[in-house]
Amino acid sequence: MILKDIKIKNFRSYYGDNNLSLSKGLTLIIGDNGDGKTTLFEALEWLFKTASEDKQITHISEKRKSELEVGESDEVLVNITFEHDGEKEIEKCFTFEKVSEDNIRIKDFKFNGYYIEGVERFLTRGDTLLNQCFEPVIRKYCLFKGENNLNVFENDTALKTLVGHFSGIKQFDELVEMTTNFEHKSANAANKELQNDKRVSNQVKDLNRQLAEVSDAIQTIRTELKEKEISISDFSDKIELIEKNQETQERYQDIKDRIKELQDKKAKLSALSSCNYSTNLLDESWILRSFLPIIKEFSVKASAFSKEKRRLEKQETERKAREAGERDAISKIQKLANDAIPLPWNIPDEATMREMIDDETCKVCGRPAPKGSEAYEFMCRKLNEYLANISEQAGNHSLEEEDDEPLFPNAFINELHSRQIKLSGETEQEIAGIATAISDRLEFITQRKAELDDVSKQIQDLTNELNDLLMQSNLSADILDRNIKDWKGFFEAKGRAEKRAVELNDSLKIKEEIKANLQEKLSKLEPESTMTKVYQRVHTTFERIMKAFVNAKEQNVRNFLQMLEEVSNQYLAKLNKNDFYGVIHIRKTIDNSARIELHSLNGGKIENPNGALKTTMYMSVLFAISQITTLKREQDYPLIFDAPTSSFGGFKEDTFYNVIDTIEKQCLIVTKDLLNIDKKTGEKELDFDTINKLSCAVYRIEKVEPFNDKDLSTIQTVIKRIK
Amino acid sequence: MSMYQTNEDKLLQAVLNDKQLMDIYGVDPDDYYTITDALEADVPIIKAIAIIIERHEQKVSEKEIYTEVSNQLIRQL
Repeated sequence: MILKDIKIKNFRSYYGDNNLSLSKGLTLIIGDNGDGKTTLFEALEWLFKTASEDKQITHISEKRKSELEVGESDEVLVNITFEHDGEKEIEKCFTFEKVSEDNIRIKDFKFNGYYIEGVERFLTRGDTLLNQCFEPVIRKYCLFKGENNLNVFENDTALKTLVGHFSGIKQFDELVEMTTNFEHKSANAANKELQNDKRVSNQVKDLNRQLAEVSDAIQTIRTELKEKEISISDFSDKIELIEKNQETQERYQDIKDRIKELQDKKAKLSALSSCNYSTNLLDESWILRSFLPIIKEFSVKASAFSKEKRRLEKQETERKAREAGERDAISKIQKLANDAIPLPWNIPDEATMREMIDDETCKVCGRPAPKGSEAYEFMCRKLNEYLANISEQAGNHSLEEEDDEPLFPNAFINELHSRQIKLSGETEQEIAGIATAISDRLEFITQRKAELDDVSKQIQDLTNELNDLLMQSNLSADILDRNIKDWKGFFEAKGRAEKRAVELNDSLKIKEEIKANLQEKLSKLEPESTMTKVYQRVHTTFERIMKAFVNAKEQNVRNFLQMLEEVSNQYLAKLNKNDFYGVIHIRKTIDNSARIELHSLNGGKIENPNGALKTTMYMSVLFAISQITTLKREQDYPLIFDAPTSSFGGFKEDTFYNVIDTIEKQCLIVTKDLLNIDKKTGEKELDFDTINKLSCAVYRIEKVEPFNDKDLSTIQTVIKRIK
Repeated sequence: MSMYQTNEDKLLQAVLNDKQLMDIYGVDPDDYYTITDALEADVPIIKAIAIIIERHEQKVSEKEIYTEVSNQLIRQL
């Protein structure tokens, strides 16, 4: 089957009619993300699906759908023209009609095939023609989506399927089963004859009893051995998986440890950088943070008040001193005005003075002083002077009292001054200290927060790294965690199972020897009847026939795998020209499936080959399967890949496509390779240097611009042949 | 000798290449390139193998094949 043309109409983004003509070798279809590469692949998958009609409304082009008026209709169609014993055509289509604004009806599903004889084109069933020309089992090994689905032996039944269909010899399994049944039947028939033979019947019965016992024992051992072998294989696979992913596991563990370390650090930094500002306002007196300038202002003002007070007090003191001085001077002047030194005004006292006036006698000098005399007048004046003085004293006292009243009786200024003194010095220092403490604390918190951001970023980076690692390794975190824990357990369990398997094999060997001896004895019995002897020989013949079929079947699998390995290695060498590539080994496992391994010529298995090498390894096996299929069926079949080379670098892409271009195998690759970013414009441009070296057909698929990136009905893929 | 090998011919060749058959019966697979060759063989086991393959291909039932092969062997052995 060689594909010649593909037509896609109104299939999702492929609006209207779209045609592709394919080369007999490589056809390259280049498109960027979202340009319709996978849609093209899925259109072919849809065409090749024969199990169901699958006329999904989602297959209809949104753009075409949006253009339809109510009552109008169009069709979704995928058609291939190919060469397979003459030109043929397969077409799948259905009609869609807009029955209302919101409703589309699908009708007239058709899956047709056409074959051409002479100039006539004959209609046939599409699924029948497809299954004739492109069998389901071959299709299974022809279409591959993505790089991760290239390993055909991921499927445990793949080996059986491949050997069954492509080893060139079919129906081995049925024949082995049939000849095994023949052996049993003939054994029973021979045994029955022997039991009826008079000469040997007793021996036969005894041998049969022993044989039954030993057969039961063998069956029991085999059952247990099978279980142990499965366990060993299972544990080996798990250990192999662990070993294969040892580097991944080490990295995984390392990243996890680093994340944990950083998370601890983050928790500490979070605690350090947290601060309850509201509480600290009062508990730590942070509220006084801005009080220092207030203190300064208060101090200046209090000083000014104090200074003013002192000035006023000094002024008052001077006034009082001046007044006191004046009084003293008057007194001194009065003293200088009389010769005799007068008695003080208070001598004699008031009572004495009044007694002397009343008695009209001066009791100071003892002389009489009759009323109207000068002495009497003197005494009256003296009394008046006394009274005046007393009065004056009283007046002076009140004046003095008035004078002695403090200028600042409430001591407010003193209080202000005291407060100023109290607030200055240590208190001021303390408040200044609060500002420093707050500043230091805020700086500390800022630094911790910066560190916290840094640590959070590191954690995020490591988490991304961890996710990338898991994505690349195709392993879940759960498996990696469990494997690390189970590593020791797997080894121990495998060791125990191996030890038991050795014991069972030894027992089995002994029992089988016993059985073989018993069977030999049985076969060497000399029955009386000739017919019985014939039955014995017939059974022996059937037994050899059965063994020959079993051996031939196993040899056939070995031959197929050897052939597959040889051809795969030829492709591997081609696809990795000028690079290291190793040797492909296809290992048959105990459960009759197969595993593809890469080995170095010095014998070592290459664990975890790089992505490109792994891809070329799997693709080599696919090319080999395809080549063997072609050889066995005398028909070629296309290989169709959707984005198989995502792990390739630019250099590898060049080599890869150059090699694929020269391989005589129809190969359709849908890819975003050979699209480079133009450094000047930032736009993606085709790598014409590489494309021009290719001899194959090259198409570019891309979205028609402009389009609304949120509206599917504006999306249309166009196919342009560029080479 | 036909150059084209059918699936039966290939099966026959694969079975006749069994070492035990060659050793015990002195079978040379090259003497029986096709099923037709083997069906005409004088060696009973070769003929039996050929009948099994041929009849299986012809969709004959297992019981019938067993009877046919057994009878053939009984006659020849």
